[in-house]
Amino acid sequence: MSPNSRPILLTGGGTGGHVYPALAVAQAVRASEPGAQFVYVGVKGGIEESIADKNGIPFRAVSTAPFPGLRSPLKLLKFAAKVMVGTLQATAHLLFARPKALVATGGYVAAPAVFAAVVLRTLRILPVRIFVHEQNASPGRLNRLVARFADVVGVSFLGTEGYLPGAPTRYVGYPVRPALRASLDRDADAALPEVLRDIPAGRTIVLAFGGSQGARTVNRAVVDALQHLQDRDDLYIIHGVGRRQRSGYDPESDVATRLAGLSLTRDLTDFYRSVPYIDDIGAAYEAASFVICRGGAGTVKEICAVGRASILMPKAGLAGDHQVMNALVLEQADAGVVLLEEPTVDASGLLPAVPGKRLADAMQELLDAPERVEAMGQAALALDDPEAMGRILTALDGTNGSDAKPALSETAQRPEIKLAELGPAGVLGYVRRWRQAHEDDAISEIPGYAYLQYRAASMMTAGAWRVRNIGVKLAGVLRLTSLIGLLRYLFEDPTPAGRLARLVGGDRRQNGFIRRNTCASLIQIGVVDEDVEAIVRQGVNDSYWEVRREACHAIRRLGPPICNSAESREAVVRLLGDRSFEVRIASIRAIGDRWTLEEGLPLLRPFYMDENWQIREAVLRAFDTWAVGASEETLTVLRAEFDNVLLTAGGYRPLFGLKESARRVSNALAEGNGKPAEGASP
Amino acid sequence: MMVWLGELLREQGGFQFLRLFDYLSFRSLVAALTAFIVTLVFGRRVILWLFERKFRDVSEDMLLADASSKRGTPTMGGVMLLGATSVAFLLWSRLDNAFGWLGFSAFIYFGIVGLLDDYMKVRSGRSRGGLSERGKWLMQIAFAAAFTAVYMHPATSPYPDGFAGQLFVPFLKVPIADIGWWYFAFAVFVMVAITNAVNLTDGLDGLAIVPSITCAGVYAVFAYIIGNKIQAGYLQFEYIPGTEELTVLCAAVAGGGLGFLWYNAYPAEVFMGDTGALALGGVLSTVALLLKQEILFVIVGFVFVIEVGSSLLQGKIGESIAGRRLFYRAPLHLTFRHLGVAEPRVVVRFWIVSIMCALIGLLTIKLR
Repeated sequence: MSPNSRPILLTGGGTGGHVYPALAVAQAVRASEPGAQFVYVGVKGGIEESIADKNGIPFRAVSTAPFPGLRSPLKLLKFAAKVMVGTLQATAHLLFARPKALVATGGYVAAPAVFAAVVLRTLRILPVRIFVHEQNASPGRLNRLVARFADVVGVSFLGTEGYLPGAPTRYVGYPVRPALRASLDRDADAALPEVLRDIPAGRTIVLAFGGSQGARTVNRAVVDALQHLQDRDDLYIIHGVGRRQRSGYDPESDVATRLAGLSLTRDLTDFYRSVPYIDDIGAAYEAASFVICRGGAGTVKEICAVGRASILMPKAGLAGDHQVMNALVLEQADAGVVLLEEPTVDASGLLPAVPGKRLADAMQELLDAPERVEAMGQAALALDDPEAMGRILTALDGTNGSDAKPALSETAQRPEIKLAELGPAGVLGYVRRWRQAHEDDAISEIPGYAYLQYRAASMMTAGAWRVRNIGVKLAGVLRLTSLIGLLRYLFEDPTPAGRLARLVGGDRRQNGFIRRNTCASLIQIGVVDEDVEAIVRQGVNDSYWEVRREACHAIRRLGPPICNSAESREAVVRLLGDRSFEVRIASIRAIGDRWTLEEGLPLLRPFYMDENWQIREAVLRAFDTWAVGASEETLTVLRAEFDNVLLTAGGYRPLFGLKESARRVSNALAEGNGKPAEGASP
Repeated sequence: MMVWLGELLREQGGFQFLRLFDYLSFRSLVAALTAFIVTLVFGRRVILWLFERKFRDVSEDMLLADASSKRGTPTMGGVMLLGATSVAFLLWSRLDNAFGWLGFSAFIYFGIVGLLDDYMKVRSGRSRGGLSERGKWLMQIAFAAAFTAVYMHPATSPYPDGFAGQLFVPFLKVPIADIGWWYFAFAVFVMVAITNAVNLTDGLDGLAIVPSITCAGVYAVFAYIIGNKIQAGYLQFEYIPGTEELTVLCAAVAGGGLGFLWYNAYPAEVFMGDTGALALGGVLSTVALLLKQEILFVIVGFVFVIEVGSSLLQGKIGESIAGRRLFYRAPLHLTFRHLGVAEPRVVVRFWIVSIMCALIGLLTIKLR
């Protein structure tokens, strides 16, 4: 078999985003070498199988599984077994097909073939060139793992190289489908596809889609936006809703029900058209003024290739937050507007969503500024890299073609990219450190504020309670007023904890720590609205003492109007009899700070001789507050009362004299460091 | 060593009064005195040496501010305990006795593990900079497994056949069960649990050392009885020949502990560090196992048990599973501190509890 007749093995999948680039490469190779052979390795029944079939590429199945995380050893074992079996299967496919090169486009589906190729090549059984392609601004897990074993790792964004130290990484760009580029060059008077026919003249066409499987966020936002847009007569929306794949989200019925629920004064068909699938997307791009879509690498790069402005609603919470990162690249270049998903309360629970109003506002803004849309389209086009496919083919051949990089703006410097790499605790640490170094009210100036806001919200809806807990804390340190509604939703979530947790004292899914920190975050946010009042009202009655304590502190710290409502005053008085001394202290302090002496004093009398000196200390603090600026009459009352407070040595706190002196000396020594400069000058 | 010296001198003639060295009660009491005097004499020098070598406490005091912080106090004072106890034990025990060496080796091994941990903490300057939790556990389990293997394997076991797997319970004369090789897992668990319990208890000045002394004292009495055929017969204990040398070891630990308390009493001039805590845990757990009185530890080491119990409940069950605190703070002594009880009072109250528990432990000798 001559090397030229050896096929190219394609692998990658799990989602369409990993399959289409491999397919695009195959199409480009086929265009330059009509006789080229391909084999696709993937999971039976996966999206890669149907796409390979549709494009006449022979398909070979292997077993594999997504990485389950390190938490469960059993799942990990199952995963390892599956991948191992898959690797053996892939070895057989490789030995049978004897490919000259392997194109791996990422995703867990690619693992077996890449592992097999690495092994066969290392053992010198089969010389195969391994080309790994990364589509996103931040690389996926598998690609990070296998990058160093590849001959070339091609990345689609400048700056991604930094994520893959020690790997033969090189910028190549994203392989946009050759058919899409071809469609841009076609005759202007070619027949319009059906979806674009019969659109009234003079309309600005907006193309909205969420990929072939449909995206709930995009679909719902677009439909919900319609009622805010019905008054515009210069608009026509073409909406590709997507088709249901096997199981999961059913875009067509979802859109149909939501459309039926709209109350419009205008005929819908006059400015809106929905189709399950847009066959000739090239023509649709061409006709559209701007595009509403997700933030997948393929979509983003296609928008750049066609040079269209965009409103991007990237999917939240993916590995490395890559859709958000991709979208931010466009926003950075002023080629797109990014609307980050926010957790929204829905009949079925919390869903990540973009409210229709927000989308409508963003659309109105673009509709009112056609010249800006034009400029954004040009900016997008400037991000396009038409040489990408050529570079990929060169890298695949192993010849060293021109490595010249296109002049693209550097995008790796954005703070969000650094933040997306951090885990939940890392993000919280970053914000806390920043707060320590800056003014108290400057928090909105923290680099990446909008992203952090989105990140806090997405953490608050995470599955692991520790992550939700950190999200709640983050909402507090970032003072995110916008998340108070979500805090209330979490606080009121009645879902019980798992059986094991309830057995050992747990109660609800939103456990004691989360509820405690919700109250603590409210204090930091410092705003009082209906939601805050509702949380505090329930907090003082919570079954966990730390929640009652923090709720009581919230009443004291947030001040009027919350501390003046009859309900919360009643609650504070009731908490004076709480089982936990921490709560009693919080309650006494609230009375001291927010009650008048006449009202407060009788309430505190029972505590003058309390067993716990910390309670008595709280009483004295109340006296202290009341004594400030008090009349002589009041002071007389307080003096008499003060005499009745039991003062013991109970509040013993050591003061080590030597340490006290040492502290003074070390302060003096530290100051002394600054002085010699002054004295040294003649 | 003194036993051997006494015999040697008597063979030369003359030194007949040195027969005293054969008596266990004499050797034990003198071992305790020796260890006490050695710590007292060398204590100050050791503290200064530790300070000069910058072995200073690096704990993050979140509770207390500057002038009440104990950060910077010389730590690793366990070396004092290790040294004095070793001197006393080597001087006054019979060196041909397997039980003594088994207990002593645990003392030294765990002391070295603690030393390593302390050294790493001090050098990194952070209280989390010591051995990783997993590393510490592995090193403990490794010794516990080796010890138990020697303990149980017929070829090396110091016990008669089929005795090693027996389980004795306080207040009962006969073993409740022969759990055979299951005893292996049980013994490893006992060692690791007791060692970590002592380590956790070491959080306030003098809090770990006094309960360790009372435990060592009770076990000294038990070792004396169990290793004495007449006493064991009279009190209806299973006589285990050879265990009497553990009396000397326990007495040396208790004496060294008292000497250490001299300096460690509130406000402490020196902390024992993991060096001392792990060594004490190691020796107490092995003695308990060797005397087949492991369950008794729940009574005499009650302070340690509630400390580790509260800590585990709080951390592994409350915080990880239930998602809330079950106590105000853990281990338990921090709850009392949180309630506002002053440190010396918490410490003394824990001492009182440990002494009472020791008395109950001694009660089980007769109450069977």
